[in-house]
Amino acid sequence: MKRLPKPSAAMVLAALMACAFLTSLPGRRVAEPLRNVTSYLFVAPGEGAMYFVSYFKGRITARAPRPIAADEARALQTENTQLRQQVYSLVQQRDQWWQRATIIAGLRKQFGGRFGPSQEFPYDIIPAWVAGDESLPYGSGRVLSVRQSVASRKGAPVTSWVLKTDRSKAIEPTGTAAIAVEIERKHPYLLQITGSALVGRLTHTSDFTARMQLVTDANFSIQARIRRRIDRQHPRMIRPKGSSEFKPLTLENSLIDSVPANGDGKESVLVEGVWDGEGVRARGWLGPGEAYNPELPPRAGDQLVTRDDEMFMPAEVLIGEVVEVTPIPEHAGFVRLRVEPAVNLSALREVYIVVPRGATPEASP
Amino acid sequence: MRWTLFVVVAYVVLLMQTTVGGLITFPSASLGTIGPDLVAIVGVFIALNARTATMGMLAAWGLGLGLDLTTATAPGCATAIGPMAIAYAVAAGVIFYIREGFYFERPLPQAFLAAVFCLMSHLLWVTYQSVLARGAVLWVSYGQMVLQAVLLSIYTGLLAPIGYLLLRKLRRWLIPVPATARGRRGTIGHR
Repeated sequence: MKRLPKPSAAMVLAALMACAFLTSLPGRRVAEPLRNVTSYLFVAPGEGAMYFVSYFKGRITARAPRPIAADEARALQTENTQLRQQVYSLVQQRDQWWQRATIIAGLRKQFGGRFGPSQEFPYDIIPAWVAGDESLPYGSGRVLSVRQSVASRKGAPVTSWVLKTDRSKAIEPTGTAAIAVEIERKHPYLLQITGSALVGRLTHTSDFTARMQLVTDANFSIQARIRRRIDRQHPRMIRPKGSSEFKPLTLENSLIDSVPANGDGKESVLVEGVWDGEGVRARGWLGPGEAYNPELPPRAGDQLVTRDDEMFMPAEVLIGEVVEVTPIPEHAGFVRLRVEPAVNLSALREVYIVVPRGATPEASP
Repeated sequence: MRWTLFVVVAYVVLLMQTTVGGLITFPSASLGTIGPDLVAIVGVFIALNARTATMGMLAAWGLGLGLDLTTATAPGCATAIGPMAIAYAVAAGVIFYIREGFYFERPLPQAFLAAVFCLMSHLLWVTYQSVLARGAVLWVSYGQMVLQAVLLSIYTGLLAPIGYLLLRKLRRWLIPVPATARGRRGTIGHR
């Protein structure tokens, strides 16, 4: 029997080059399964290495807190005392509502869910750990190690915790404030305020690994909202829709609804095409008798949040804070907002994948 | 070329690139993220020491494929597998044929050749991916990525002599009979 000749190195190289060319043509259809398999090789050793990387990066790239004046800190202390009283009041209200909810749940069980809201829309929070970065710096993504299957969860939002400390502790306490601070020292859990922030979205998913596209990636886009910052010391007056008089900015009237937010491919999120108020007047869009209100346009310090009517995460989750407002020269009357992510993305370690229970989100990233 | 050891070295360097490489990567608000391509240093080392161009290109092809498999975000979100394998093989071939003009045991030629290797492979990759993205990449974004590629190449070039020094300790196991380094004063053999 005649044996086939052993292929030369040049022939092997030519075949491999042809293979590489052919696999590049279908794009993601071939790339995703191959990358998912490769992720298994890197996740286990990568997780330990990323622990040290996120620790050191967190130290190196830690953001310096905004300096705070003594009177500002005192005002915050007073406000905190008021808010704490409100919290106690709300806890009592919550207990009352809890009792009512228990009664309603009992009735629903008794009548078999034949009336009233028969189905809830619960969400699962799947913890995940960053196990690797992208090899090349042209995009912003992370490889995640997940302890349970997240296959078919592509498009699911990924959040992280944002930790804030109580800024009113910036000055030494005096008088009655000293008593309040002393109480809080005995209850250290009061000193930290946490919340969640959106950091990205899943683009590749497999059983125990996933790839996340960060909010700063050039291909990331989301419809979001702007929540204007409420500063009680320098209140902004706005005229709410349908009202004839100016009112101070409150939680209820502080939203700018549905703005397109896109990653800039560097380290920020850009919001384009938000009208600046002045442009509205120039274009004659104000109704009869309506006056231009310079307080209305967004400004640095306002927050970019997710929409609470989104299917995959119906909650207002912080994305970042507006740090720069610049006019768009080619579109007079509109401004571009540069938003700094709420979380230090270079030191990202623990994240949470938000998935609707039982549903399979397949949104194209 | 001892391929088993080569695969181990490639794996370790890829792992470093995707993890601790983040420690020497710097985000910039105006230029984008600038980080080194540690895998390119191995590619240059192989291209400078391989006995034949084909062997150097085969090894570089493998390294490029590793980069393709560990990079999911790309221009226009195309993220195809294969462009970097082709780009690395081509760059290794070019480095192999121009290495005769350099005394590559010195840091300066190493830095220069690593920068050239990086620039060639990354420009080819960025262009290839942008074409595959089929109109999803704007010229502004393409220009931005080219600028990133240039800066990345300079950065990698600066780190290349350190990487070469570390890889030289593995040379006798990785490439049993390495090529000789030539210079203006003639051929200089290895120890």
